[in-house]
Amino acid sequence: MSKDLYSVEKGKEYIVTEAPDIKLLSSIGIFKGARIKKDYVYRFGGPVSISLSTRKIAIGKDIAEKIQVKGAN
Amino acid sequence: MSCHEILEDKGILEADNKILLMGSPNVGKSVFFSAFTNIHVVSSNYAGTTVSFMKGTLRIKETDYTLIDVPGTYSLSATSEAEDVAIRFLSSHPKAILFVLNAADLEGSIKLALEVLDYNIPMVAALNLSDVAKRQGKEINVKLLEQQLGIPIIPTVAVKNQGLKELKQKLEEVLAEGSNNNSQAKGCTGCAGCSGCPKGTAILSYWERAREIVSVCVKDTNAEPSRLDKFGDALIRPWPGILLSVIILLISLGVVVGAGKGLRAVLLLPLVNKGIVPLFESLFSRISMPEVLYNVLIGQYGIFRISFEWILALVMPYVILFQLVFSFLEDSGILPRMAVLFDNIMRKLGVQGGSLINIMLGFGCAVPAIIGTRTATTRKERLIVSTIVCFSVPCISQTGALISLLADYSYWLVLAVFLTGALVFATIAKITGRMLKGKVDPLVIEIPNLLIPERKAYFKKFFVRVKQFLVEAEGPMLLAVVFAAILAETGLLAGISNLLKPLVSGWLGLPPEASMSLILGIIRREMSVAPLLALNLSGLQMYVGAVVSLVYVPCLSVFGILAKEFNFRVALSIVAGTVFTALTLGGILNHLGQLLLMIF
Repeated sequence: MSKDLYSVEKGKEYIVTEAPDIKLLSSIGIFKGARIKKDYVYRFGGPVSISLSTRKIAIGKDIAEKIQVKGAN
Repeated sequence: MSCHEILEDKGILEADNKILLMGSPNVGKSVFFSAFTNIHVVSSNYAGTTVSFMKGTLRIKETDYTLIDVPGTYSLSATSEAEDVAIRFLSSHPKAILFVLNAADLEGSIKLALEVLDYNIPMVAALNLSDVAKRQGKEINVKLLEQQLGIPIIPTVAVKNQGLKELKQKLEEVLAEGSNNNSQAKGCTGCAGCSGCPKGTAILSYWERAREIVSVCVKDTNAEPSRLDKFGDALIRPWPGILLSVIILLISLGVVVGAGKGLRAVLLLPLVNKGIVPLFESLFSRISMPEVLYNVLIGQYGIFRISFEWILALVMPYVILFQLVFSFLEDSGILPRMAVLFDNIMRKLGVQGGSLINIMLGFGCAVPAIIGTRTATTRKERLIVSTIVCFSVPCISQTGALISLLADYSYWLVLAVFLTGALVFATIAKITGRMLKGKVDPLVIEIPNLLIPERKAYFKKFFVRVKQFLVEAEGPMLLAVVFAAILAETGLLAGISNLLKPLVSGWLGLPPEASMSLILGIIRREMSVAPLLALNLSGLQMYVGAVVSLVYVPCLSVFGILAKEFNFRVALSIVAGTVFTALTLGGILNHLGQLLLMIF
């Protein structure tokens, strides 16, 4: 079952099942099938920060809500 | 070693003997560029588009090559203007590519390297930031990596000059091979649209291949994270990240303001008032000349008095200290962390956290901040951020002047002006967000590793920045000073002041001579503050004067860059907007203040 990246529990690993068609996202490393770890959520409408294998990135709330993920295990 | 202004996009694309310096953003490409060309900041604007690149001459074995610092991109799918530029360069028959891999983000940079390799151009790679990778416990097998990618790779720590000699040596070898085998170099380049091109390859397969290569070549030793990495991590956690950021900002501000005031009081003011000015006074009094000329030279507003009082004692200490502090913030990786931490506030104002970096740049000078907005993904965001910077972010020379004006009276006044500025900031963001069509994309930002700036590179950057300030600002500042001297000492000012009296005194409540501020402000921002210093203003007058000069920005350089980056109409609207808002707001605050003073 997929849920959106913004609302899933932090500190866990996920697989992206659906990502919005924003080119910067796929070139930075968020695409269908990518394995990510959700690190932190920033309150009051702040972004989500995640780790890829060797890279840390932050994604604004409005995009994070559109990224669907499922548990990695 | 030579450098040239870039005249035309076409010219540089057609240049022979090009070597492209490529890699993801923030891997230290410019450090290589500086080391190989001895050019430090020769940033050239790319005609009409949103990216800038640098070029310089690299001499290898009696041959001059043009080394081009291509803007960093995450991919080559032509989705941003920076990527467009990169692709155009790749298709322009370069002789070789010097690719910079990020050892600390190997997967991402290998993915980009694979895309670039598809263009069949001879390539050498530097494995940069190899010290950071080591610090993080990553062991990279360079031999294996060379085999996997099929190119020579040299581990480097560019800021410490490690590995650069070997890299140049390898580049020389590759260039020698390339010239023997010219047909291969042409390969599939120069045919942007043809179906045989590597563009068809899906992004996904590049990522998969990159992951495989990393799994083969990198061994994770699970080393204990260093203190720096721990601190970098704490800085990105909501708690204590926000607290730490606020502390860092306050310390930075404290250093700039405190040391600036100290420098001014202990060294610069005595030097100017007891040393330089008396020297010129005695010099000029010995030469017989008309009184007007004497006054223009060394009178109360004489050129040789105020140029030292204003430029040397008022502006320079703050500019120097700001660059010292800001270069550190820039090089350390603290700024993108702040962009993440404060994205929520910026989002509520209608922009995104990333624009905070440009706004911070604006506290140095609006010009680089407006150029920096090229990184914004939409025109609307560019316009909002540029407008915010013009209306509510004082440049450092102006901040210095404002602090000298206000802090001697009361720090509460500094706070009041700061809060008024913040209010203008939020209002302008909201209004422009409403007015402009289009959208602002949400934040997507890479969080780099925290680094301690390398001493040599840091000071070099600092000196380049200060030199740049002197080159660019000295002319207009001197112009303003000469202008001020002539206005004040020939009696012209009295006439103008009389004319503007209803506005300056009636509406803004300032002494008539403050009209000089409005006139000089046209040349440079801080010059609208400097004349207020000598007017013995009351607290309310200082507050009103400070707010007016904060918002009032017809500064010529700002106007110029707005016209260049957008168009004449945009420049005129923003600048006229600041003038109108400054005068309206100033008058309202003056009348409100007088009302309050009457009641209490």
